[in-house]
Amino acid sequence: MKKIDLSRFSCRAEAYEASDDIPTNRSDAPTIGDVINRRFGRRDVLKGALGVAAMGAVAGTGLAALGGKKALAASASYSFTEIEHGVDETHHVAPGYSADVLIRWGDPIFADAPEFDPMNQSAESQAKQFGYNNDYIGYLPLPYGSDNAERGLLCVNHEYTNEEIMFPGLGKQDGDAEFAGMTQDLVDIEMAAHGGSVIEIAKSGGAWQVVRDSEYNRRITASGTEMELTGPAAGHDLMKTSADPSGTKVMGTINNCAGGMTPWGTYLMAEENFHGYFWGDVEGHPQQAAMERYGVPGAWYAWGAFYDRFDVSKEPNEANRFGWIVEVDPLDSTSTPKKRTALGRFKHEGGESVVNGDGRVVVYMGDDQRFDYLYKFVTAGTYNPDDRAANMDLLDEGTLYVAKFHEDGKVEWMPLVQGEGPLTAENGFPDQATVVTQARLAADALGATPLDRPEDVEPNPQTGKVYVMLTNNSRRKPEQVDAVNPRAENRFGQIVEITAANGDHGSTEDTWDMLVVCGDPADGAVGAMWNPATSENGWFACPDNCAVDNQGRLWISTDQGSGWSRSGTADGIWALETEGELRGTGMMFFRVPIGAEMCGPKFTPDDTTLFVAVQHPATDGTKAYPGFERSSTFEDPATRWPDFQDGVPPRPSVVAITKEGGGKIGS
Amino acid sequence: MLTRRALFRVSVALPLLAVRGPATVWAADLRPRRCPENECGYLFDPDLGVPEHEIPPGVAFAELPDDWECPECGTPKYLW
Repeated sequence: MKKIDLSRFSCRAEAYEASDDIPTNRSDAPTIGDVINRRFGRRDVLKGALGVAAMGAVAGTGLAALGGKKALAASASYSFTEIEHGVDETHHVAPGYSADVLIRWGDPIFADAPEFDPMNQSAESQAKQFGYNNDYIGYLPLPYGSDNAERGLLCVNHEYTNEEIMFPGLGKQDGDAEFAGMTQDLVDIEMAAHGGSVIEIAKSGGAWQVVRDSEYNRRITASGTEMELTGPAAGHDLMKTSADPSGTKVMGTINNCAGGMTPWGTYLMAEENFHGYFWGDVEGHPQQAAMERYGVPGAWYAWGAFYDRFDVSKEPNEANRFGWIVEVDPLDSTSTPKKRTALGRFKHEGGESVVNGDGRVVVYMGDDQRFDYLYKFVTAGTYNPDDRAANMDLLDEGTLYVAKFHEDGKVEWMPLVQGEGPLTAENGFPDQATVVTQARLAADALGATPLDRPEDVEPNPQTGKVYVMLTNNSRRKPEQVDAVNPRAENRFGQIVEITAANGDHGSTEDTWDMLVVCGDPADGAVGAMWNPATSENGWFACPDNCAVDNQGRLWISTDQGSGWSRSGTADGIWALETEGELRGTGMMFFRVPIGAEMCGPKFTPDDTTLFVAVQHPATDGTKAYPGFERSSTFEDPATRWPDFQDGVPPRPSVVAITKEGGGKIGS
Repeated sequence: MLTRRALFRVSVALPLLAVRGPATVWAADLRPRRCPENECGYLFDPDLGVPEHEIPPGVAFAELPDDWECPECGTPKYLW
């Protein structure tokens, strides 16, 4: 951290009031120390190309564009012409591809839904229109059980809202303005813009279209979709509220970031920064320490002003009912979504799963905060491919594990099971309901490895490898550096590869390697590690989501926030080689407009369409956008993507990428 | 409604204005500011200061060093 010059201040306070914004994980799990050189020295350097990159990075030499094209042509898994780093008002895709907007915030998704009218928004309209800030994208082929790549259900999360560019005449309603402009009507629109959408889409004349009158179409919202709590925490005292004395029913879901599709065709929505919606004071709260560990209250939104349940001073347990994995059956638009408490409560980034060799299902999950953990859930029962109904409650029973990374390349998976190890009543864990509800505290007690913000975690069913996006951690101090988090003040992130022992995802001891250490390889101070075949456009920063295509190839999407002004490029999609001599080589495929984040990459089963989610265009870092250099508002946004019409604000949208003339993406 | 933070501002910050300078300046400067980064949520609150940067309570946002960055996500001051 930069040294702050205090000379200009007239006084220096001796004690500070505790801030609720410091990292909530105060666990002092031992760091591994100065092991990066040993770790890379002993293992990765022997692996060839990546080792060369590692040594180059250590020596501070530039590695970009070092004649790698020849090698690339020899054995590359991907074949497309890279686009260039940069930032402007619109999106870009590799030559020879089309990137067409499929659906935008506000587009009607029912036959009787009103058309988007930004000057006359209402909660009622929003509940029938596509929500805000599309994030996760799932694709379920129709009919169920087929591999249809031309008709299916798109399952899309709507993570959160940006009121300053969503609503006319408002501006940013932050702590400064104390939400002065936020009325209950606006809050109700926000609540209806959160959650998710299930929409039927079909290819017609070579182009994807939304089927508006489909029986499957559904909006899931924070305010209008009742959900059921299932698993160990259902009905527990920690779940009970004045509106729900049974502790089993919750209204809505919030901050759904990434997610996953299960092998039985259900849609998992990961509840991430739920703390940001709660108001109140946790001083003297019955679970004060746990609330603080989860960052409650965050007070990012005005909801607590109008709804008592979003104020922990008034409804102490409501916050315990968020932060779960929600399972939705997209084939039944009337089904009740289930919050599967067996998978633990934390700031869930996603929930991608794999069927293990023995039939059990394993869900990998990151807890997206600086210094938080990597988890996996292993079902007790086994997946039945011939009986969909038999799988519908598989996620209620099983074992939740948290990861501890060792410097020798081992990953130890430690069970979060009440009564085992430190998880006893004496230590504050009287039952399994408490263990899963306060999963972060349980993982602290077990000594899990604090990571640089674990985001998406995706298994590759073809290789048994698991890819873990660690996006960044500007707060890591030099003394906290360890093998899996090798940089202090890490602004660029890294991708860790876990190899399931003997292909067994239920194993409690796996191995890990570093795939890439992100950032500009030409800048020695960054300490990046890429295959030298990576071009000047092929490196990226802040990996966030990812997709493994049906050929087992890895694609990464990024979220740098305002950090694009450091890297010089907007977020996007990069292909990333994982095997052979080119392992660790990136190639840039798609770029988002100014201020946006790239989310949701998802391929159709034949890899001919790649769906991507462009989230919050015109927001991040616009004060650094040359020629604009100010904050965006509804009236004055940095871009009006994708409509580019006066009076129409920028709109988060899903984009369908196809190859001109057909064919597999990247081949 | 009167939040805890607002109450603090009324009870503590206002009397400070009297001894520390022109009320017109301080009244504006001592309001908290939320980090503009999506999903960061860090609140710079002059009532609390920034302990990890040794910024004491009572320092206005404008008084922070030019190279100051969000302690949560690293967004530099000039982008706030």
